[in-house]
Amino acid sequence: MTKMDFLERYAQENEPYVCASCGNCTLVCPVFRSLKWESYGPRGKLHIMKSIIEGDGEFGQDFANKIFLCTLCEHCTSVCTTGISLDRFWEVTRAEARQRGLLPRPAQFVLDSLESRGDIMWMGSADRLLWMEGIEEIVTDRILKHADVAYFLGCNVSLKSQLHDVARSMIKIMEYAGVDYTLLGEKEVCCGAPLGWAGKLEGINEMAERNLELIRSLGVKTVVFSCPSCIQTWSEYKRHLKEENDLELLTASQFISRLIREGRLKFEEQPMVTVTYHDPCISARVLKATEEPREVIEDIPGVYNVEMMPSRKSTRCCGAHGLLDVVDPVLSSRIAEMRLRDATVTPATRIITECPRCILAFDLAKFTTGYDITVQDITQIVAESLLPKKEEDKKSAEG
Amino acid sequence: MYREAIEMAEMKQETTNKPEPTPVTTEVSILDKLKEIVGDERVSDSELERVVYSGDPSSLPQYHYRWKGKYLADYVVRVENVNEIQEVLKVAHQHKLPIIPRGGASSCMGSSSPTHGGISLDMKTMDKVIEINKKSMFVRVEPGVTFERLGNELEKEGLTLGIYPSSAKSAVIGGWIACGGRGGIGTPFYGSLREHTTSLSVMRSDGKLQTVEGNDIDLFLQSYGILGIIVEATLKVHEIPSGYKTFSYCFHDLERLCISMMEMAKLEKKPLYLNIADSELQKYSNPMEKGRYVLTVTYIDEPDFLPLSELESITGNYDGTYLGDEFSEKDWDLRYDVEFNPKEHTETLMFQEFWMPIDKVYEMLSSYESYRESHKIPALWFGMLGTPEEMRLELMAMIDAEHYLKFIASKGILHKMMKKAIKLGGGPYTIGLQNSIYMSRAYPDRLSRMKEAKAKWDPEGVMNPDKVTDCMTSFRRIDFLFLLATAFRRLSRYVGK
Repeated sequence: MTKMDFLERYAQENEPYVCASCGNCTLVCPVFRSLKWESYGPRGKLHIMKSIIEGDGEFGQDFANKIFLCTLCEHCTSVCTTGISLDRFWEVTRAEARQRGLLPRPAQFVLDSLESRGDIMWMGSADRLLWMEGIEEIVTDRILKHADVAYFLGCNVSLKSQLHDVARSMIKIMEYAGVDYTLLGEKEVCCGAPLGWAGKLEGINEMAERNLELIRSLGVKTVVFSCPSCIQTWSEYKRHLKEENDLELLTASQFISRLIREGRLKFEEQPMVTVTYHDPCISARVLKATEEPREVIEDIPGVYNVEMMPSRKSTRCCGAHGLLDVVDPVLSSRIAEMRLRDATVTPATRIITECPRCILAFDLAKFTTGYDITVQDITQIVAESLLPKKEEDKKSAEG
Repeated sequence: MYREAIEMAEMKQETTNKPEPTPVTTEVSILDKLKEIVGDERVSDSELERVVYSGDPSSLPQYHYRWKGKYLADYVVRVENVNEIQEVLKVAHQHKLPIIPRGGASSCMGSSSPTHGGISLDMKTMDKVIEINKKSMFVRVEPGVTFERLGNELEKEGLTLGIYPSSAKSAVIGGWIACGGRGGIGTPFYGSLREHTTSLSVMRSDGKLQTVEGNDIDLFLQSYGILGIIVEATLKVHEIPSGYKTFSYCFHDLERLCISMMEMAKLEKKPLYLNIADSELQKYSNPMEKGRYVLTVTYIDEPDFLPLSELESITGNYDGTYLGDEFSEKDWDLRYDVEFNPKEHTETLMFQEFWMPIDKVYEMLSSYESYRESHKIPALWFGMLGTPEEMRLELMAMIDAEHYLKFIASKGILHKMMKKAIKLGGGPYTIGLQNSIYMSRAYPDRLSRMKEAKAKWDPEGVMNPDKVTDCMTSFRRIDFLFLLATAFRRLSRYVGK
């Protein structure tokens, strides 16, 4: 028998035995769909893990690499007939790999970056202000201000220039609706999610707490996120967030939908835009936030959503989650291409989503496949469809 | 010649009881030859891959299948076309390596598990829907196509295959053909897979491609890949029905449940799906608030197909209580999962599948209920109507495999149940590796036909050895071992006291 410290510590040691080997997980796994070898699929990995536990195999570099070739998209968990929380199992198995010194080098880089810089890209706290370029006047006073709502950008939106417009769009929406909001600015650090993906489960709470301490001190009641993985991490690792901190965590579309229901956002007619909404894995399968983005799209006059298949909780991963985009960018891109094809068979001219990783993945897949389709965050289409303020005032006066 | 090689391998097993590695020098050359055929990407000799491709949902503890001999495949090859299969077969013959065709591996009983190493041939990549002919109502498919994809493609034309196994989420069509497709969802209404199969293209073990039609198709259903490799199938299709309607009833009495099931099966209006289960199994998927047994039956939701008054009369006569629309719909939705759900709560879900005449189901179940009491085994069961006359019955025991004696004793009880089933005119449902010992007793005529066919189609015994026509152990030996194990189990209870 091979002892698995982390599996035991996180009560996951029975999961390989609970697996019924039915194979449901295999066919939905994006990595298996791309590589086609069973040892890359969830059933195969569980089977191997069982033989390692029983002393019939070794936890070597080969297996460790396979464990990291996974997007942690939770599709396997959602179809598991025996209800195994496979996403949790893969994270704990990654911790086993790290303990054995078998972390793939890109994952080690992310870990080092998180520990020394507080982000996933070896940048720094000052770089978290770069997205504000051009709107400094509006946002500077919002940084670390006491407010009801905090906007938590996350590493990707803060630090990657292609995604800066997502943050700027959210600011435009909040300003438009007159939301009392705050930003953590350069004090914001990673939410902690990539620590789990890199097998360092024990560091997540500490990282999350660095943000939460600040948020609490600002009297915040609602935190709005541009990245669903941040919400997932805080919800899972700070289980009593609501009770202990009286904090509500919302996706961008959940927040925007609320603003629309409160009558705080008005849209102008768009010239017949057909979009398709791509459900990010974590939003759909974990946060169950599948209807709000569709409601928001429906509320914009002239914008029509056509469903790509599969969608909602059966959505397919974009390939960029769970560190796969850094551990194996080629495989990640191949998975994104497969998902992009689901969109291109619809009549849509734009993909709308609400996850920065999905946007980056699709942008790359567009490049590798040559498909011409616009990819936007939900905040971007909302911000650009807002009825100009003067017209809104005029309409209100007329009304 | 090939059999001699197997015998030699078995002699080696007796002395070492460890899988024998193929000599390094040969291994390199075989691997290179296989790579030459399919390319580097689609062949593997890595231990991780071989471990994965040698198992299936039997979920037996490792110690249990040590006796299988060289239970790991030597190579795994993913084939994409007939030419590749042909070339791989040449290599297999040249090096006397068994070929083990593998589909979704969602069946059980070790159907695609090696016993003498060899090449595990992954057929999932041959997954084309070649032709959908709406005029003549048939579809031509490659064996690796999944039921989901086939369903989606047919749906675009307003068609359906109508029948599928309860493992349809992961199974592939070729695998279901090889396993027989006798009973599944839809078969009581549309007929079994045999009645849907009009033609098969089969690659013989000597590499020749042959079309199989008419009565010869019978040989290939339940052949478990021992005769050749199915590379294409032509199947009948149907128009998609407008909708389905499900009714679930609870019963307090086992006999009344079974009589109700039989009467429903015999009605002129046939169900698409009819299952029975005990509350123990049901509690893991769709728990009942009252009653000890449940019967769920689904029909096409059209007046011509719905026997509403007959159902009311049958359930009224035998004290069945309708469990409501919500429960019924949930039971229908859970049709893929219900048999797997208990596995979540146990390390080893020991089970055996039987193919029983429906009028013998009560006798089987009451006997299993007695064992539940007398041997204190955590028993549960499930039955799915396969044809209007026969039912696939699944008897399970939730056992922790670490408790060796309990585990073996439970297997012993399932063995006794199999002997009883055979006496009653039934037999094993899935044959595979584990149930081949019952072939001579349960299906002697079938065994002799299959032996003849094996000699004709695969004279050198390359294809999936030790399934159906051959067996690694004898019935008598297993019978004696289980007799001892169950006796010890009973004895241990008294000693314990």
